Amino acid sequence: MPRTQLLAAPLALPVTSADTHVLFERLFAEYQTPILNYLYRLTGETALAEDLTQEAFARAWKARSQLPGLDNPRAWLYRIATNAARDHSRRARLLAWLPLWADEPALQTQGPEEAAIEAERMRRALLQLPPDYRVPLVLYTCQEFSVAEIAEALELSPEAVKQRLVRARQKLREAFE
Amino acid sequence: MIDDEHVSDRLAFYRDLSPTERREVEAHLAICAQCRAMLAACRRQDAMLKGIADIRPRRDLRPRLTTPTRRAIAYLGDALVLGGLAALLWMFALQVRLASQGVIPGTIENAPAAIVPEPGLTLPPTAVHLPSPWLPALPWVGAALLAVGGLFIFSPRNPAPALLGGALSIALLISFVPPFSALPNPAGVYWRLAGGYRYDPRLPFKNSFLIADQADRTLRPHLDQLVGEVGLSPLDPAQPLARYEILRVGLHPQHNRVALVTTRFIYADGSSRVYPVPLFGPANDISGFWLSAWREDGLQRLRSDHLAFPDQPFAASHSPVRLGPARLLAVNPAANRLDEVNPGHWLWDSVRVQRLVWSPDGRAFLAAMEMDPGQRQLWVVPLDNSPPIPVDSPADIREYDWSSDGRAVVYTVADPYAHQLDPAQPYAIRVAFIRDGQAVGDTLATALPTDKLPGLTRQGVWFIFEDGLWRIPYEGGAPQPMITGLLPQRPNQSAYARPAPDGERLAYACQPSLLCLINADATQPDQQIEVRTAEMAWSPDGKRLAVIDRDPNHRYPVRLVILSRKGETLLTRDIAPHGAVDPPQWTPDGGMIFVQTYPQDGRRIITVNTASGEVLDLSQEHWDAYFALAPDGKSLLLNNGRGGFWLADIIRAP
Repeated sequence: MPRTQLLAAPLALPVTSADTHVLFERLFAEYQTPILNYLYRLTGETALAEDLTQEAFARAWKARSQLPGLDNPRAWLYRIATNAARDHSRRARLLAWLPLWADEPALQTQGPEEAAIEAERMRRALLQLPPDYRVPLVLYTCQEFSVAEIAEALELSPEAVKQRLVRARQKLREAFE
Repeated sequence: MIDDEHVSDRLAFYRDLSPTERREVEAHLAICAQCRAMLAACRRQDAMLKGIADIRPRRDLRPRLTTPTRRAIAYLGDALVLGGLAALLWMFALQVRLASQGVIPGTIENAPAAIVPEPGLTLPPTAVHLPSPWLPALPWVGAALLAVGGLFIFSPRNPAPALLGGALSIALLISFVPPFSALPNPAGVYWRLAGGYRYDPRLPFKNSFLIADQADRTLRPHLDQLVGEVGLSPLDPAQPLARYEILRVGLHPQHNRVALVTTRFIYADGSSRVYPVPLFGPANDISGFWLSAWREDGLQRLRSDHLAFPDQPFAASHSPVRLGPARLLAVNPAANRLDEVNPGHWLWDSVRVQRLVWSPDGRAFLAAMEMDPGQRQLWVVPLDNSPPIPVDSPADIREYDWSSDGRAVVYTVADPYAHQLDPAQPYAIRVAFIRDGQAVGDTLATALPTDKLPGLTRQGVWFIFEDGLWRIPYEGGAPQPMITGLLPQRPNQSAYARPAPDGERLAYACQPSLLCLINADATQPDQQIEVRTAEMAWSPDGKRLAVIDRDPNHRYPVRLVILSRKGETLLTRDIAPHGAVDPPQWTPDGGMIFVQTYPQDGRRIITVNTASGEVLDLSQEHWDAYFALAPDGKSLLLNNGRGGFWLADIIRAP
């Protein structure tokens, strides 16, 4: 199923437990990897992203009774994932979702894999953004959310999202340079 | 219009611009190089962000709650936690309610209404009978449920906690919850090897693999029969047993086939004592692990009626001699505890504190405390409330008495060194002087063939060795031969001498069935009397000799024979149908003789009037006690191994 099909069309009207189970299974199959990569970009750690993905889908499972009435289940799911990451950050007492850098090797700026190195630099620069800017930027650029969807997922106004996107791009530019 | 304004802010969400906005922005971009550069930068930024390498799931990220098993575990965890909380709350509410009522939870209600305490005394508080044995266990049950449920709940991502909780539950179940705990289980095997297993019978948890059957329930009917009875602690008729509490059930430390039921006996005056009552003789024993259906218990002696023999009545109120009520002797509390707890005296049908001997000056008495079979500790118990004095380290002490002046204690003991030299002569005579609350001892003689107590007079210690009679001062030194060629053959174990108080006349068993009398300055006995001498004692004036004539083959009853100094038979009386006998004890006026007899394993207090020959049993029902005649002959010191030392006056009819 194309990604947009589930995104565009509200889910049908199943109301039984078995139906919500089916809906959840579809949601999981569709968004397992996108959610994982979204959380990876937010946290910068593969293992943590996996744990948070599992946690996010566990939360989604517990709230699966909401699925039939959702207009945009993708935004709903990303909101759950974002909250899971935020809760983890609070638990870990990390003001920002910054991984430890101490053990990472210094980047080389020249060589045959310069593009990959540039991407890695960008990843690190992204992780330096405050979460309030990092989350909408990742949703917009990497997950291809619209401003409206981001506003729905983060429970913000569209204007606020636009403002954060502007600020996020400025800060990312500064961090990357 | 925005032709003359930069649109850099809108470029941040260029993809989401409305068609109108997009046209305006594109118009501006056509004329503004700065904004075109900004748009290019944003697109490059987007490309680089998208260029961050994706990752693939390395494991199944499906939340485990979605599987039926996981859901069941989660629900079970929730239920366990809720159940644990409910159990704790229930117990808390119950405790609050019970506390307001002032009763003791978890014990056994067993207070007979007929017991009337002495004036001024209050019965112990009545215990409440809980409706379920699970009730006192609720805190433990609640905590266990919370722990296991918590493990279940915290296992959505990892099955290890649930597996751990399950394993823990199974281990607890087969270790402590009957009937599952009857299965072979690790805890049972551990306690089997390490020993020391015990449980609280008021709780439902027990390891039935070690102790099968309900030991406390087995014992309770027998204990119920004792409620209201007197003479259990031990002789005071004013203190019946009011109730009891079963505190613990465990295995005997040394005997895995014996269960000990630790029970508190509570008497009508509120005093109480704790005894481990044994259950033994299991009828069904599977490899030693299965104790059930005990055939015997240690209450046998308490249940013993200790009735009078048909031809030997107990002294009654109209008897010429009887005992007054027994009253507790005020000795140091440490002395009273000498016989408090010793499972052995239940097991081997013997009491811990054995034969008592009053000192000549009446200020103390001797008591031997049996530690284990063959191991006794001899104590001097002062009557001035000072602590008891150990006479020697525990040893195989046999017989003991005071020196005639009361300064020293003389006793015989099995001497391991003498046994190494000659197993036929393994005994030693030791002396201990009591000074300033301490006993200072020495060995007087060793490698002796008999453990009978030597003769004690003011001149010293008299004993037979080889074929001669020897005497040694209490302070020690070289033994002096008093008479040589005394015995025609090597003496046997019954060869011992009893000198008269003046030391000028001696009695000794020259053969197993012959008693010889000899003057101290003679070389040959002048009298030979045909008795099988078991014990003998001279009267205080030295004019008469009391001899216990006992046939080891029980062809005739145990007799007391009173001889004159010259050997004439003055009196012969049967005093017991059979059994062992302690040395006779004369009253100072010589009018009465008291003898401790042991027919049918009971302890009897026999008195014989030396003038009329009347024999009376001064015991009372349930008494079954050791005694020692006071030096003034007016009272008896009593102990039956169940707590304290007691004094009873000898009441003679006018």
